This record gives sequence, C-alpha cells and structure tokens, in this order.
Amino acid sequence: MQQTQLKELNIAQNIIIDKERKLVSLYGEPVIFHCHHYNLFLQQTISDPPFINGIEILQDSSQEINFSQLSNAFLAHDANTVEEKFAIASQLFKYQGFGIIEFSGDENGGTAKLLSSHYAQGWTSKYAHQIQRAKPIDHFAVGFAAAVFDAIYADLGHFSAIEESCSAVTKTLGCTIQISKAPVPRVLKPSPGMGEITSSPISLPRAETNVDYEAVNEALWGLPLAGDDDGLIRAFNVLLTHMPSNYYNRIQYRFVEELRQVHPDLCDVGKELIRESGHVCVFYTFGNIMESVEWEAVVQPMIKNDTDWIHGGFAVASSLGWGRWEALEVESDKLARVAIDGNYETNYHLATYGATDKARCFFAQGAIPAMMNIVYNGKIQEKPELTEAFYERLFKQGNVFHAKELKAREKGDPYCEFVAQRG
Amino acid sequence: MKVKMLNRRVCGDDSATDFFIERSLKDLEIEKLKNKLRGRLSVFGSLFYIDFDAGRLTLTSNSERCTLRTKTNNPDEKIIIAQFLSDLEIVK
Repeated sequence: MQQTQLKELNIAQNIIIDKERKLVSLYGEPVIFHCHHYNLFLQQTISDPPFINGIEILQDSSQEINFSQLSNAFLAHDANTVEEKFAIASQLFKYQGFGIIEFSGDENGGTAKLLSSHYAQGWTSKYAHQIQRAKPIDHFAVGFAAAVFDAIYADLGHFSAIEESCSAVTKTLGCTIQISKAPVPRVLKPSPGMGEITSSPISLPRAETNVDYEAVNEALWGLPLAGDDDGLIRAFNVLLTHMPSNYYNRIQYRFVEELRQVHPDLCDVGKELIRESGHVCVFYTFGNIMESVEWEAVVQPMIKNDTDWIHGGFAVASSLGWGRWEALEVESDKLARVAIDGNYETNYHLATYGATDKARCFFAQGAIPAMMNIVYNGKIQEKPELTEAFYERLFKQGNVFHAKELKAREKGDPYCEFVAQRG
Repeated sequence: MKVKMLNRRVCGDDSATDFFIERSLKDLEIEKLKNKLRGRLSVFGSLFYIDFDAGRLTLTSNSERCTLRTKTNNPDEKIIIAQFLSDLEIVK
C-alpha cells in the first residue's frame, strides 16, 4: 500500500491550549516546544554511554508516545483506510517540525522515507564540518515509524523499525527506515497522556515586574509555529520541534533509572547531564528568542530594568506548553525564586511513578539558573553571538548560577519552587 | 535612510541578514515592501511576517531592525529589501 496525497489537514485546529494551566495538547498528548540544540544534546547524552541501551530507550519511548498520539489522530479525523492513516501520520510529523516522511507497506511491514529530517539536518548544521558521523541519528523517527504501523495494523509493540540509511552519515539527501512485524509483540508501555495535572491553578503571589505574563502568552500562542514545506519549524534562529513532552520525560527518567540499575555511581552524573540539557535549551532557544525581532515586538516594550529580562524569559517559557513558570522574586544579579505550577515534568512523573521523596524536575533545575546566567553573566541584552565557545565560557567557568528545588509537587507540595543563586 | 546589514549563519544551515535602519517601518511601507517581494503578509499585533518562496522577513513597529531568513545566502530579496529601505526617508 502506497501513501497517497490526501487533502491537507488543518492540524492546528486540533491544538488545545489550556490557558489556565499553560499546557498545550495535540490529539490528547501534551506538546511543548524545544530546539534542535536541546534535542541533539539530550539524545546524545542518552545514546552515548556504552553500558546502557540508550538507543532502545529513545526508540521505544518514541514508539510508545507516538502510538498514543497517532491513534487519537486517526480517530479525530475519522480515518478508515490505510492511505488516509499514512497521510495523517505524515502530516502530523511535518506539522510538529520533524521533517517530511512518506510511508509504504502492509500488515507485514514497510518503508518510511525521510525526505527531510529535523535531527539529521540539525546535527549536520552543528557538527558535519568537524565530525564524520558513523551511525544513524533518527531515533525519534524510527519509533514514530514503528508506531504508525502499530496504530494502523495491530497494537503497540507489534512492529519494530531500523534506520538503514541516514543523511547525517551518508551526506546525501534522505533517510530510509525499514519497519517489520516483530516475531513476538514486545511489551511496551502506553503514554500517560496529560498525566497528573493540577486540579486548578494555584494562586501565586505576583512579583514586582513590568512584564505582563499573560500578554506574552497570548502573543506567542498566536504565532504560526508549524512545519514549513520541508517539515521544519524555522523560528528564532533555531529549528524547533513541537514535541510530545512525554517523549522527553520518558527518555530522561528512563535514562536515570537505567543508570541507577546498571551503574549506580553514575546516577548523579546522569541527573547532572539532564540539568545541563536545561542549560543548553535556555542558552540556545531563549538566547536566540531574546535576540529575535519577535522579542523586540512582544516583550522588549515591557522591559524597564534587568530583572524584567528574567520575567520576560519565564513568560516565554510559560508560553511553550511547559506549565505555569513564574518568577516570584528576582534580585538583580543575585537571586531568582521561581515557581512552576503544573510543570510538565511533574505531571508525567506523578502519573508514571507516583509521589517521591526527592525533587525530580531535573530539566527545570538546569533551565532556571541558566536564565540568570544568560542575563547576568552572558549579558544577552547586548546580543552576543551564541556560539559553542560562548556557551562553554558561560556555563563552565566559575560564578555561575545554580538552582535548588525547594518545593516539589512530586513530593507532595502544592507546586514546585526553585531558588537560583551563584556558587 | 542609512541601512546597515549584518549577515550571519543561523541554525539549520539557513542564512540570516539583519537590516539595521534609522526608524521602524510604517504600516503602509510594510505593505509596499510585501508587494515588492510578492510575499504574503501576516500581522500579529506589532509583529509582521512577510513570507515568500525563499524565506521570511520579520519586522516590528517597535524596532529599527528587521531580519531576513532564507535557505540560501544570496537571495535576490536581500537586494530588493536593502534598496527599498535605503530609498525611504528618515522622517519618524
């Protein structure tokens, strides 16, 4: 069965924005924006260690989460034929900024051709001039492709996939993924969907700031951030993806759990690497946003002092589907106290693992102090060039900000609260 | 008016050019620029996108900068935009 061209779906109409909780969902799965720098860093962190099966974590998690979203999408669009379902899968992949993918096959398996790829092109633009890549990179797409066949022909875990040719390796256009029916269905874990969201938003004390968080939210929610003709979201000088957040959650927590089981002495290193992914995200995504014309249009007119830059950054964060991120208090160049009501990490963690006795928002633990770093150490107001060398200087030299998660909803507190300070 | 251009490579191997001018553009001027580029204009408050085949020009009425992002480094649109901006009067 070959994929055919069906009419373009209006996928954007299926985006649901929960304005109170500042969560965004698409076909029942929470979705958030992150850039290719973060995507590549996180993927490499998990796939690099030779003593854990990181690639399995990446591909299985993608298959599990995408199975849920795809199944819901097929229902939402009343898709009955295989052609319709292949077409919906391709359009969803494109809309979310992962690239262009085309499917062919039947109940025994098939092929997915990636005509463009967020991960491959992102990696090529960052590293190809210095490294010859030896292994395929499209682990998310591999899981997605297997999930498509699961959702069309069987159930979760009935198909598996492998990337046979990757443009980041071959340096030629296009990637090829082969999907085949598993001899025995694998036991995979369904997505928890929206997870354990807050029953209602907490009333947080309003900090002294000129930034109108809600106005920033409304402005950014109105922007057309969707895959272009290449299936890429070219925005704010980065490549964005509108990723199901449960994919990020699942791979980061599975990574830490796998380390705990296989190499317990490296567990804290693993958590530190997830925190570092927060640094990478803020430096590249927020750094570029803060240097963009969009920032000058929407946020800059509100800014009257340096602490407003921090508030502006968190107002943007709360527009990306991450939950309600609000700075409660910012002392210039010294301290930020930040609340997250209904963090996407916590929503997933509570639904998957239940309550814990330790704070577990590892990404937020890194992202929050990173915001202070780029403003007070990085002087982002002066629009420095956001290079790897600058990142290294900013985050690896002394006097950087670090954060502690003082309150954690995953521990039973009503919301998560962090303090970022130097040292 | 004077136009300064800054070329930079952005992520994904695209090309970006910042045009620094002496004042922000007026609505009518943005409309005229859109016609010159044969693009499609989207308006989000004080933020404007002019989309055309080669890429996107992002402008705002709050800033004296606009950014052209394209897939190639030498689009014809760069010349059109630079010329259009330099032909404008400075009057704020």
